[in-house]
Amino acid sequence: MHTNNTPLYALIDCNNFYASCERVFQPKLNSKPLVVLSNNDGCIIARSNEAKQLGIPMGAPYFKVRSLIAEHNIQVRSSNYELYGDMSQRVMRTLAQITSDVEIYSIDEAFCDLSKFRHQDLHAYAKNIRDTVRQWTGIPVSIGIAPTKTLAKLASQIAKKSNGVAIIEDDAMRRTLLAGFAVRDIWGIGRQHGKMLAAYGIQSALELAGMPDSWIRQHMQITGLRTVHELRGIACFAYNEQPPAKKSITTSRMFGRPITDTDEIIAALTKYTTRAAEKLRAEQRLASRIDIFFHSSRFKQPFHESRRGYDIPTATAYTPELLAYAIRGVRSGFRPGISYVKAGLMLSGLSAVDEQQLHLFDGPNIEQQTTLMGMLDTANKRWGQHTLFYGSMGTQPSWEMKRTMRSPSFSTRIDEILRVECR
Amino acid sequence: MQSIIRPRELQARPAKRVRLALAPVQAGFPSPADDHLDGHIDLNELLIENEPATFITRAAGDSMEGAGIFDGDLIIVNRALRPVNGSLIVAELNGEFTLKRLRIIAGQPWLYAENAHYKPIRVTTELNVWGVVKHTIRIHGHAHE
Repeated sequence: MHTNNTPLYALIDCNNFYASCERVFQPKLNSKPLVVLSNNDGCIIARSNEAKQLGIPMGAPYFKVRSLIAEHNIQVRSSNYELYGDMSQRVMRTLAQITSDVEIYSIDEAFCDLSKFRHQDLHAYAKNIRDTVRQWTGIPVSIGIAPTKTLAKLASQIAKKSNGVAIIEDDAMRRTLLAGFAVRDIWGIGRQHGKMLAAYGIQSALELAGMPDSWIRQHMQITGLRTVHELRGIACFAYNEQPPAKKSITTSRMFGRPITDTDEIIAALTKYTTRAAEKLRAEQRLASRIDIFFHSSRFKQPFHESRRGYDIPTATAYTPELLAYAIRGVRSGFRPGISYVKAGLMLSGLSAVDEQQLHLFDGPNIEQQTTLMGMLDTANKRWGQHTLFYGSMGTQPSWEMKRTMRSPSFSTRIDEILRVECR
Repeated sequence: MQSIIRPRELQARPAKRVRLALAPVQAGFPSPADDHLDGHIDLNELLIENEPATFITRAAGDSMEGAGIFDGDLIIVNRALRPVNGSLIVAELNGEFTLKRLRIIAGQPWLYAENAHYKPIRVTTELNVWGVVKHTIRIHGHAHE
């Protein structure tokens, strides 16, 4: 299976990421059941393994599981995207230092192109990644390695339940793993397709991989066919290409030429932010955190990388508001005299549109914004004119989110940093 | 909204740069240092060896005064360093973080304070080292604030 021409991907996936971030700075939480709540303390968005075992469902509204939480003395934290964003960057930078060609897929997942390393001991290679990320950042990760991204993702899910590393080394192994893997858990198979496949009696990933192409195309269109090919070991998603992420939306690009001008970076980020916001709205979701980054070539001195992150008080999918943050991020991080080669942004803390009701009355007029965005999404062309939105930078909301159980931002705020006892 | 304080922001602000000392100005003679005006000392470079693995924390208490670390000092913790005999370490002890000097005595790890009022602790279970400390920062001159 691993000939010289086939690609080889690793998916590095942080285990229970938000819960793990909390634990790095609060060792008291180790081995205790722990859950993290969404914006406004609405529902469960992360669970430690112990909390999973106690039967706390993902996405459950907090008030519904309150008695279960009290009964088992489960630790509860409000989400702290500033902390998670910083820890995510640390994990990604660690990966960039110890492996090559890191593609950030979401706040807690990254792909690495391992084609160059196929002749190495991959188990040892993966173990080194796990150990180093754990030691440097405190975050535990699982790693799946396979010739396609979809298989690498599937392997990482298997790795999570075993010793942290799963490598699909040959075809026999691929078939064994697919046979024991539920169709609905495959990357890129949505809930709708999952239900449809169940109705046809297709339960395992192996059964799906064995269906004829014509049937797949008829029932799951061309994207479904790509996923199925990937399950068979034929790479269809190249480096920097993937089906939509679940927990965050990342848009980043290399520039066609080095850029030394703030306005040009703003123009680029305006484009990416607009795209990311469109994706967000297409998925009927809102973001509560935006991270903006841009950097010069890593191979040239002086190297400069800027990263700025902002918590958004009321989750939004409103392009002008997101743009205001993006522009602010560029202006505060830009350094004159540097030739920048890449820029991007990540939207995280995603919630479904209807989770957002609490702030309807003190927030901006959501209904109006939604109508406006709907109009503008159809009249897409206008979005090149980023100057249109400068005015919105002044409308900075001053109220705070309801996050009553938020941990300190241990790694990003000087007045909240970790206390080390000298007693 | 507050700005996020990251170690690298220091680097990004020209105002934080410290100029290298230049030759005093002598009328008529161009200083040979003029060609090297770009030089600056980067505190981040000096204090942060491995950025993703470095965390800034704060000392609370007087047990490390013998090592020159006082209450309120900033402690720069590098998680990438392996602790050795004599390392200053941040260890997890009973669910808290504590700053100690690691000593290996007859193959056994001990945690030493640097203040006669505190007794050394012999580590009998697995020692959880959170990170290693090579640098600390003390803010002087509160009188000027």
